Amino acid sequence: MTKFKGYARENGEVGIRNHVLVIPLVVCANSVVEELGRRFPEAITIPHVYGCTFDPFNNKETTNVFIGLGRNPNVAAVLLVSLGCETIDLYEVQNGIKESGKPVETIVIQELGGTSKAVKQGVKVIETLIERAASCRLKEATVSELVIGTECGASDSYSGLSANPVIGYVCDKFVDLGATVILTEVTEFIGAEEILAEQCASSKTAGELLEIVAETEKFLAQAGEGELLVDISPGNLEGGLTTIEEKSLGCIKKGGSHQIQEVVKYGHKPTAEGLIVMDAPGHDIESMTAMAAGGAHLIYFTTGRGTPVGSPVTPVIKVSSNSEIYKKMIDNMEINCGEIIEGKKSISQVGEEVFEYTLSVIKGKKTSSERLKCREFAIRKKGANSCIF
Amino acid sequence: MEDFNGILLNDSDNVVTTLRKIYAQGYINAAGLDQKLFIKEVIPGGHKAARCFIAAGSPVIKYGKKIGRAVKDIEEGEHVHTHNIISCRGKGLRGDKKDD
Repeated sequence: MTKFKGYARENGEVGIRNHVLVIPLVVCANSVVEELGRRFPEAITIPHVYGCTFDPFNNKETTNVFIGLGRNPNVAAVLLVSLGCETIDLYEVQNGIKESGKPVETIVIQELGGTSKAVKQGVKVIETLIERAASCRLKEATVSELVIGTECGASDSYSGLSANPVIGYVCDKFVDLGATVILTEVTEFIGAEEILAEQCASSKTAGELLEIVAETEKFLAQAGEGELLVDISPGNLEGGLTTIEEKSLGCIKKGGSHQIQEVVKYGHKPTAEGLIVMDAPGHDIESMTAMAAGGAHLIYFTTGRGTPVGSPVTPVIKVSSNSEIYKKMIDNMEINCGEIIEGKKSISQVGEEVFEYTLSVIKGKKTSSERLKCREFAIRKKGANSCIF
Repeated sequence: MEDFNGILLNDSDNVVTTLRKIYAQGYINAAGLDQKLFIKEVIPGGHKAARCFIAAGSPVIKYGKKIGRAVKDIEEGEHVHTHNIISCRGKGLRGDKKDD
């Protein structure tokens, strides 16, 4: 039951999707990539605003995210589209992805001579990559080989009562089966970090966890000096959450009860199995991008106010905390936890339903974010100006 | 199953969370509460009501943990939200508050 046929990657990993991914190295290459996306609607294209900065930290982080995304096991082949003069090093990104054994091609707009020539060459390359992807063989795999992300976005007060505990239940099951689960959104550890520290497998991990929380809190405290601003969104407030502490105590439930094995940096691949923490902010897209770069096969996304967002190469399973939003935004939802609030079902009952549904997604069933092509992509900006939630 | 319209998450909590909108002059019925909680004003679904009197400056407890502190005296059954409690973390570390 927990076995499935996955896409066999050259490095021994297994994917549950088989994407051809087209990454512009820099914002200036977006229009070429967007045109290629129109010509190949099933290819995954991620126009963005990054790729040319003299901030060495952001340069490095952007490079790592591109490499991580290219290496994600759901990706079969990659085309990198460079302008030719950006600060991100094309060949560093290419080599970083190539190490995994998968095909990575490049086109450079300035070398080819502008848009139409770059698009023409891009079309030829993508056609070859699609053929390569189609020839990828399947192999039998178990859920122990999966990395599962967790996310909460547009939360309300019910998120911590229904959807997050349900995902915690499911994550406990997956960890019992040998999978790796990522808990992140460090902004939403503030107020709950003592609980997480106690949940760490070692005092070293606990120390690292507390450090990233302290750093995030410092940024929050500095932002918006002179005005009282809360650290949670208007939607959170309307939904009944009043403080970041209250929100965090509900958010952390989605990671489940297993011991936290390690703390990894933004976009880095976990080295341990089981429950791990990743240093990424509460911003939904920045954290999902980080988990995808860290190799997440799929992401659970709990929501109270509703949101359509997805992630380029990773199926996102939307879990509503309440029935009202589930019905209202049915286009974008997979699971309804509202019946827990209504006293009709228990957390474990819905948890079992989510687990079964997840197996069908692993075996190929598309989620709403995939069908609707919701492929949001963003990289955090570290520092006092970071968009933290 | 008894019809609970609120939830008390931990015995040490001094707030109860509503599971649906509570109308003025209504009651919150939650497992763990000795008796129903009388509510004077409307409390939206998912919001909090004080389980008992909370003095200004006192901690507000939910999930058995501190989620903030009261900036005014809060009567039993009163709506608990941004108008009468403040975070003690993040920007709450600065301790300042604009008067409503």
